[in-house]
Amino acid sequence: MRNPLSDLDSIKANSQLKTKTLQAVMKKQPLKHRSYGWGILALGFCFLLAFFLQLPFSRSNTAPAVKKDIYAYVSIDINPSMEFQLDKNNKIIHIIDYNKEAANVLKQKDLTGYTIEEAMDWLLTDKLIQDYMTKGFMQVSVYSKDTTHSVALEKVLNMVLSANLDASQYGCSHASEEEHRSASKHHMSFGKYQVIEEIIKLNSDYRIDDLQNKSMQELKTIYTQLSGNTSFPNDHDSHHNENSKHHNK
Amino acid sequence: MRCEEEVSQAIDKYGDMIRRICFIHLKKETDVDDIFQNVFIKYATKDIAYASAEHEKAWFIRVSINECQSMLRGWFHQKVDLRDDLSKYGLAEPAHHPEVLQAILKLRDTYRNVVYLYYYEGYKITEIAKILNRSENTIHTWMKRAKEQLKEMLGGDPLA
Repeated sequence: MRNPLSDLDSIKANSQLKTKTLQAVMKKQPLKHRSYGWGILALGFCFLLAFFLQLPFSRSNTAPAVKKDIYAYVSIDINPSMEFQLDKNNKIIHIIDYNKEAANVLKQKDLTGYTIEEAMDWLLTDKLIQDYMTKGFMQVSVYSKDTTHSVALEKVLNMVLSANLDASQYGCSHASEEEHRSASKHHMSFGKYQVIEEIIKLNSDYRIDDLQNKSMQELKTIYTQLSGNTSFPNDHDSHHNENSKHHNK
Repeated sequence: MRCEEEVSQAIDKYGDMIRRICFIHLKKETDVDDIFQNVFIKYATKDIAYASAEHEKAWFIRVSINECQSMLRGWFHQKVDLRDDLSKYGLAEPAHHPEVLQAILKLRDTYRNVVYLYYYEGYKITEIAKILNRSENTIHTWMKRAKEQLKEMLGGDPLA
């Protein structure tokens, strides 16, 4: 029987499309869209009008996320280190990039408004992240004052991670309020902070400043050398372990 | 940044394939321009060293699918179903199996990808798993469900 999809043979990119694309790519500017021009002008006019009329654009209205709206936090560390702040429906309302590598990843796409699952799907298929993951280790950590929510979120993230990565490539855990607060004081993600805390417990000669800029793979190596365990504090039983917080036992 | 000749060659080489990927994902032919532009700007500006021609092709497939899915996440595309008539995509008239294509277009996008990559591009399940960054089991499951749904819609397995 003829392949039913052979009908697709007749779908081709015509020369006009190819030429237009080549021109746009070489100029590195978007093709002029049909109806956006007037919309952008109108939007600009509205902003100007609002500015001159001194409408109450208070800082709290324009701030990226209002603290009370944040229901859960998810940190992701490989070498890029980032934190997603989520509302109750797990939609991203604010993102923090803790290093340049994370900024480079996140500038490709604004993930605000997506669910954390969608964001993880995108991140795991992103070329930059995949390059980091060829030799890297991904640590994902969850924090919410609502522990039931935190456990459920951890479970969801574990499902996404296990569908995309080998078990040896990632760890997933949840953090305490104290860890979250301490990590914020040190301007680092709480997932990375948890691991650093474990290392310092094993060898107090290490200082946070020495470890803060290391990748998760490097931290994993240090931890395994110190502990003599081949497993990372968080990657054992990562698929998972809803009732345990893998460290700080 | 790649030179104009490189980009031009890539457009010639992969343009037809990307348009087919657009066909199985997008509702509007007019969105194809944007996808083409985004895919090839990424190609031109990202300095990726491809290990082989197959690696390069797989990269184009993955990026094209991602771009189509990103576009469909927009509010307008989610809320408004304005799929063009198949003829607008330049399908040969008459198509040999228009009912099969119509049925495939009704599948979930993940199932559509698997069916397209397996039956049209001729990839194996292991290769599709790598391209879509999913486990082989997931791909097997998607393929099984796609076949079941097609069978239900068409009253028989059109891909058998």
